[in-house]
Formats: sequence, C-alpha cells, structure tokens
Amino acid sequence: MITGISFSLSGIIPNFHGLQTVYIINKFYYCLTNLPLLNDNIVTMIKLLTVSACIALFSLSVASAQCFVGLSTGISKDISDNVNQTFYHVPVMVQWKPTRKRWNVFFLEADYDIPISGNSDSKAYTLNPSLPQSITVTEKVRPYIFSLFAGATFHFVISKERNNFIYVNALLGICNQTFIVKYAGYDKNNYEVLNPDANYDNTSIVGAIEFGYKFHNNLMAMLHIQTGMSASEGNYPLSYRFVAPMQLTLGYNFYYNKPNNTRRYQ
Amino acid sequence: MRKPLYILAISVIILMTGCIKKRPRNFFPDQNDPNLSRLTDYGYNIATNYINTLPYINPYINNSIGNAVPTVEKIFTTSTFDTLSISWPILIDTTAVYSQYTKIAILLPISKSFSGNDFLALSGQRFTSNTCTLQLTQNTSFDVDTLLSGTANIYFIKTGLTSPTSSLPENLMFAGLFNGAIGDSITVTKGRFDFSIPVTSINF
Repeated sequence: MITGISFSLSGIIPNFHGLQTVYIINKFYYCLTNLPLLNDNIVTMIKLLTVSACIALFSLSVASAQCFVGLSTGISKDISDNVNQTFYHVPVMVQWKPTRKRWNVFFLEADYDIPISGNSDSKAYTLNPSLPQSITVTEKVRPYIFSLFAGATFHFVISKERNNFIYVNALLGICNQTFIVKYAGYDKNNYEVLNPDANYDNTSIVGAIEFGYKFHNNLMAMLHIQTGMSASEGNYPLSYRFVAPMQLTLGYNFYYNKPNNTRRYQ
Repeated sequence: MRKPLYILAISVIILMTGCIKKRPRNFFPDQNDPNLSRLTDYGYNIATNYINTLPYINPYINNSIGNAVPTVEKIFTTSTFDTLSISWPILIDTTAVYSQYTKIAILLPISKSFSGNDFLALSGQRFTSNTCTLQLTQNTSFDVDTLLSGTANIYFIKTGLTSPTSSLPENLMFAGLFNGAIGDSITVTKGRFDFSIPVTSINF
C-alpha cells in the first residue's frame, strides 16, 4: 500500500525519486507491525504514521508561505471498534502555522470534540417482588476528547489563478479522552444495573492524518483521521472503548504577516 | 566472598516473588452505593452488602487465594425438602470499625433430587422471604459466635459454567442480589454477589 501511494505520488511530484527509501520504509513498517505485544491501536497508529512519513518524505511539495490561524468545525464519527455505542461529535479545531518560511512545514493544532451521541441499553434488576424483576435502562456515554498536535503540512497546487490547493497534514500529539457515564430514568433505590459502566479518563500519544482542500482564498474543507489511544482501559471491563475520531470539517483561515507580492501557496 | 552470593540469592528470591501473579481484589466501587462493589457477573468472587448501613465484604485471603469464596452445599434433612446453603465470610474492610458479623448464609429449600443442573436452572429466578432464610454469625465476645436467623430475598440473575482450562477446573458461576432482615433490629440491604467456584467443591 505504501509503495503504491509513493508511486502514485511520484506522478504528481516532479522531484520524486525515493524508490529505495520506500523499500526501507516498507521494511521498517513490517518489522514494527509484526512485533509481538502490540495492540491494535498501536498497529493502527504505526500504519498511519508510516503513511504520513512516506508522504512527508516523498511527496514533499511546499508549505503555505504565510502564517495563519485556521478555525474549523463539522461532524465526527468514531471509527474504532466500539460495538455497543456509535459516538458522534462536533469537533472544534484550531490550527496555527506560526512561521511563513516556505520550507518550514510545521504547524500546531488543537482539537476539542463535543459529544452529541452514544446511547445504549443496559439491564437493571430488583429484589422487590412488587416490581418487574428486570427493566431496560438507557445508558448515556459521553466521551469528551481533547487533542494537541504538532504536524507537518504539504501542499499540492491545483489552480494558481484561483489560489486553490489540496494539502496533506501528518500529525503526532497527545489526546485526553474523558468518558462520562449516566444511567437515566430508573428507580435507583430498587433497581441495580448489571455490569455498569463507569466514568473513565486517560491520556495517550496519538497520530493523525488530514486531507484538505483550500479554496476561495481562505476557506477549507478537511478530512481528519485519528488513531485510537494506546493507553490502558483499566481492569474493569467497560462496554466502550477509546474513540478514534474521523472528522469532516469546514473552516476558515485567517492569514497574517503576509509577504509582499507573493501568493499564498508559494 | 560469600556476601555477594547472599545478596544475589536474596535478589533472585525477591525477583521470583515479584513474578508470582497476585490475585486481584476485584472491588470496583459502585457510584450510587458508597463502599459497595458494582453488581457484576464476571465471576469476580466478590460480595458486598450493608448491615444496618455498615458496608460488609467478603475478605481478601492472600495473593495466591485472592478473595474468600463461598461454600455452596446441599444440607440433607429428614423432612420433605433438603436445604441449599450458600455462605461466605464477611467483614468491614477497615480497621477503624469493628466487624460485628463474621459470616452470612442464605438457605433455600430444595428437592431431595436437587442436582447441579437444577442449580444452573436457578438463573433468572427470584426467591422471596417466604421461602428463604438469612443467617448471620455474630461475634459477640472473644471467640464466642452467635447464630442469628431471619428472612431473606435472593435473586439469581445469572448462573453458568465456565469451560475448564489447562490451569483452572470447570467453574460454577452465579451472580445476583440479596437482602434480608433479622427481627426489626438487623437489616441486610443492597446485597450483591458475583461468585465463581470449582464444580468439584459442591456436594450435589
């Protein structure tokens, strides 16, 4: 897959000639993913980071030659293997590229995901003979996700005249996920929920990759795919797992410190 | 010359001690009921309840045994029914409060032909105080135990068997709720149990 991506990118980027390095990265990738004791999240993270590294090394184009602060929002869906709940979020994303040097591709990003769904059913039981012996209780799980990334951005010009370009961002950062669990609408004095979930909070390193399109000078549309967390989910079996958000966002870039007589993609 | 050898031997012993797997306490606090464990059916061998608002729990024996397991036995009688007894030791899990009660038992009348399959068939069944008996062993003074009797409710939410593994025999799992009272002065409330015991330890 990585070789394929690199080959396809070689058609786009004129100065691409990294076939040997692709081979080395492929070897590195297979060695890492075949290591014992790696869980699925770490393997997914390695895959994403490897793809990102390939893109970074071999499809290097140019970064934006301006400083900017980007604000975006949209919708996010959990793509981890959560079975009982499907988590949707409203992401709020801030990107900041502090330097205007053309070959400096690094930027910072902060994401906060506000949960909007995540309901499932649980069973509750009672000893009281005058009440039904079991009822179904709605369980609300709300994961609040905060991530801080440092990333590299690479731009491919689509239209110089209209100043449109696509870009790929490769990010590495830390993510905190706080799960708030509530069981609503049942008689807590008489009923006991079986195997109840509990609040949980943990922080871990995550990786992400973003594909974006900048158009109409300052607008952008972006797909952000993030790995799950490699942190422990504790000794108690919870019905939910860490969220791996896939975000589709629309946003606006505020450019500042503009160089004279240069286009933004240069 | 021997001193380094002693140090080496002690280090190896300490390292090997660290390799012994410690059995977990499996106490996961219930957010609604302070100092009680959650109602689970994972075979955690944990049981908690309040006796007159004080939280009681089955004790943790040691690293190799883990939590105290219950005794499940069929008591043969001369009457029409035999008795199924499920009992386990209890204590208050802090030294700050004296544990007045040391053992709890719930007794159910069962048929003379009651078998292991009948026990598995208890899953989902609720027994009321009309048929169940609660027994508490009270430690009244040094080395003197008094057996107190009252009524109980018990609900077997789930019973089942776990498949044997190379290191563990087939286990009987049962989880549920219980409560009871002895007269007007002793009330047992919010009881929940989650046990897993070897099938070889039962006598039916």
